Amino acid sequence: MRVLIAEDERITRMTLARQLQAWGHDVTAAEDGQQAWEQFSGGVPFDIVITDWEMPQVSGVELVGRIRKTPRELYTYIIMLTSRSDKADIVNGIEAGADDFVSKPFDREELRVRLLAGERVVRLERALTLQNAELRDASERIRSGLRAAARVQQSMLPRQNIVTPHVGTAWKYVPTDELAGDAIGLYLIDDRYLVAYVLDVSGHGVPAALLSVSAMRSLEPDPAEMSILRTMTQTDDHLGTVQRPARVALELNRRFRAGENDGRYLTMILCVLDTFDGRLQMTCAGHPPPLLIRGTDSVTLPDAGGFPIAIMDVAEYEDGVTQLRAGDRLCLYSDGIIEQCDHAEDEQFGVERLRQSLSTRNGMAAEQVVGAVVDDLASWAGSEAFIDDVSLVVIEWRGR
Amino acid sequence: MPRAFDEKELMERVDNDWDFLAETVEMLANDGRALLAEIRRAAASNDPDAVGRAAHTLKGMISNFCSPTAHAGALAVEQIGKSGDLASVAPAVETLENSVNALIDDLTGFVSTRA
Repeated sequence: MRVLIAEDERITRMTLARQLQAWGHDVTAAEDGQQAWEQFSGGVPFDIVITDWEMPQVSGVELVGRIRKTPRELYTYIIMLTSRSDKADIVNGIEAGADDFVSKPFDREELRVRLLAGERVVRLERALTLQNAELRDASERIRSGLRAAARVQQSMLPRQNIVTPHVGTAWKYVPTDELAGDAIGLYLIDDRYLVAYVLDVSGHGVPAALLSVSAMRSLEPDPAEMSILRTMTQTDDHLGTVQRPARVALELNRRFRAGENDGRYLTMILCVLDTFDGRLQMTCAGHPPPLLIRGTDSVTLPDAGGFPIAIMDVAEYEDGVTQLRAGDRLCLYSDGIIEQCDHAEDEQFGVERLRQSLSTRNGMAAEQVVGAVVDDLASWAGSEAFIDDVSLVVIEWRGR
Repeated sequence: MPRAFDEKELMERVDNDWDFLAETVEMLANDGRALLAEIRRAAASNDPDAVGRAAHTLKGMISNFCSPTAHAGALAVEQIGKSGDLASVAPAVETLENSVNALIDDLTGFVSTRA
């Protein structure tokens, strides 16, 4: 061990240095506290400092305090030499940062075992420092991977709001962690049919995000054979080449079989709006039903849908159909909004507050509305760090 | 005449290293006497802090030579100095001086037997 001795009385200093050298330590002896401080602050990485208590200029307690205030990668074990036995003095020394005491005149055996204890602490601390550095590296690698994965996930979110003469949309997505279990989709198909969904995978983190991304891929609108959102030909469901929402949910449930997703499942609200005539068709797979805001009122939507996806292999889903009126606003959201607790964790935000937040902003543009709702939620929570992913989509139908 | 120090304990302390002992005894003779002079000066100029500091250093020095009498003498003067009242310091300094001189003489004689 590299040991620094601070002792102003030279016979004790020499005796101590000689003894420590005999035990194999690399010893530097300083004639007082100031010289010891200069040695220490000069960058030599001393493992152990043995310091006298009373020294001119810089006392032992002051030296200890200075050492402890110096940021160092490795810990320095400090033993104070003292003829003092007053409890208050020992308390002062320990409070200043000393680790141990040895009485003067020092007993060789006592000093030897106390140094052994110090060496054990220094070695343990070194091992811990090394392990911490390895953990930090590993953590940074994981975080870097998560950030990259989050970029991939977020690149799959809607690129922009869909705005046509008939419809306006806005959305907001606030993941709790780097990766989210929530997903939002927003597509205009055949220049007429607006497809919107919010889905929410149970749980958080990487497993939930992987399932979420996989579901998003399945719901991509490209008219390929694998697409479950589109058909190759026009259907008789008044939805052009878009599949009925209930059929999409059924197919999604077939692909994400129960028990094959690490026990995870997903809920989803999927709707298809004919932007030309305001006919809304939707299915709700275990997801909170959307809100339809008409002026300052809200309209109850048909309770149509089925179980969450990947809960059971054989599931049935229904579509509900609603005729929108010009100016109606439809809000799809995840349970992260309504289940967000207040700062005292006494009460959830709830559907009613969401309804009020939406209906009191009836005159505002959809984009402002989604921002205001999330602001209301943050005020309610007392923080912008929500307990769950928050997803919100507002669709305004402007009429024929 | 009994020794002014515990010979067995002292030799264990220096690992029977006579050269090292001789070196430290010489330091005690020089530094110890200088500290005694410093104590006398401080006492004469009624400076209790300086008396306490010098006696403290001398006490630490003596502690290396296994001499309870000289150590007790230094401790007594240190305590008087730190009390701030030097009224009783003169006899205490005299006692200390006698015990330290006796220790130095005894140690010097002891190491000279191996010279």
